[in-house]
Amino acid sequence: MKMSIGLCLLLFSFLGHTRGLEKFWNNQLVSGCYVLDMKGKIVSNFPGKFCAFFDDGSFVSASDTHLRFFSKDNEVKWEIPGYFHHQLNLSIDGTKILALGSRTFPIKNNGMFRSDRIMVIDLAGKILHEVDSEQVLKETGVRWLTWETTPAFHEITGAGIEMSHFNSFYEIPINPNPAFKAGDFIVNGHSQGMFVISSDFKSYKQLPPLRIAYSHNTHDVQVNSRGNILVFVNRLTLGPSDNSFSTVNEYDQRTQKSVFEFSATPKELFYSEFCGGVQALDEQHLLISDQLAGTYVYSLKQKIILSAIRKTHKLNDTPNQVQQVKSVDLSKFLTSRNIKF
Amino acid sequence: MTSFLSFAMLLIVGCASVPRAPANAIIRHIPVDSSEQAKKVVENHVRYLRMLFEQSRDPYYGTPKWSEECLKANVVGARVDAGSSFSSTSTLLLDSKGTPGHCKGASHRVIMLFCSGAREVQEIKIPHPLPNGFTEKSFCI
Repeated sequence: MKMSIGLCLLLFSFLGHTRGLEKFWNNQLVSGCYVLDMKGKIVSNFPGKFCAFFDDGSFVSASDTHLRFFSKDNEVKWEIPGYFHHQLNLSIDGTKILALGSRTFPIKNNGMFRSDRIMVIDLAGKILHEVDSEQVLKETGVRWLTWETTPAFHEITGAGIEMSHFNSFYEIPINPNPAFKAGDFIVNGHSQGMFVISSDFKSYKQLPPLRIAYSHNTHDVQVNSRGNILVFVNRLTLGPSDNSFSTVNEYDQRTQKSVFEFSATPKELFYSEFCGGVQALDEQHLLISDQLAGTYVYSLKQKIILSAIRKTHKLNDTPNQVQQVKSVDLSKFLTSRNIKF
Repeated sequence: MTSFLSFAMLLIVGCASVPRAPANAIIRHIPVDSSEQAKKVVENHVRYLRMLFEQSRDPYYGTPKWSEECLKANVVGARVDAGSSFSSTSTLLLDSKGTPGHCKGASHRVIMLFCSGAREVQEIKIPHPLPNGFTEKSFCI
């Protein structure tokens, strides 16, 4: 019996490898500050809500109160106070930190408002570039949001109204689309649109709206190597009385059309209203994470889900609302810290 | 808390002799050049654990990052000085690799110990509760 179970596991593992997953199987999954293996088992856990890791064992961590840089020995080398949110990324060369911070400010007779601060910071903690969403919206002529914050949000930030809700921030890679210059940044404002910020933070422009995303209910917007936009569209409906659903799209701004769309059949089975992530693992595979159900490796060529990892959404026996899950090779980071994986 | 303090004090009293750890204790020796560096190592350890278990709430759903049960099972102890020796004692759930940050796993006492004049800080992980017939005091004498 034991032998047959072993044989089954071996076969299963072999099947997994022949399905094209072997390239990613030694990577780790990162959900916030949790590091997991590709089966969803926790490898390690670090302080904060969003983390980015370095080969020498150091890491940067963002939380409700600070952005902190930890050495390999867990010493805080520097910290920047503030409410940091949604995601924490590195520049493509890994030498800069891309963070989304906050500012709260009073508006006469309207209480405290919150705006976003888009920040590029070097690894020594020096803020290289910083701009407030208020300025980005002003220069691009986009209206403020007037979103009432949740009680928890109000408690954390002190703000009653959000005037922007920026939720992703990436450097633009080398790509063939003249609209996207490598080294510039793309920032997504939920319900406000996508913005390109020049590498020196001196110019801001709003991109044309996505025809696929009514009201721009989107997350994790990035430019891929084909010069297209990868985007998680949170809420769509076929008609005013129909159920909502989500999609993941690769969108070509030049043609204003999707070149790829991931959705469920029936569509309502894939619905992640408030969060969601997408990552191009290579030219043929996407990593998709939704809000509540799991993380998936999707083959563009075979048009199937190769792997569904559910445990990323139930860490430490606590159901997690997951912003995004990403696949990263953290072998050097973990080895530097003597963490077995 | 009181037992933590007394444990720490007993450890420090025992610094003059070689601590006799249970067989199942895992000890990591962290070399230091000075008492000041040792203090920094222990302080970093305590601060890191506190930040690891810092409670926070999801801004949209209000759900806590850590359950109350989990925080009760992971208690981080402060540095306690006795003369120029010092230690910190925490109770933590560790995974099979001995790393903290979990809500299930084996409960351990994790002690950071520096004895006056030593050239190392010892990080001692002992399964908790201590083995039969073994008291915290016997560890220190």
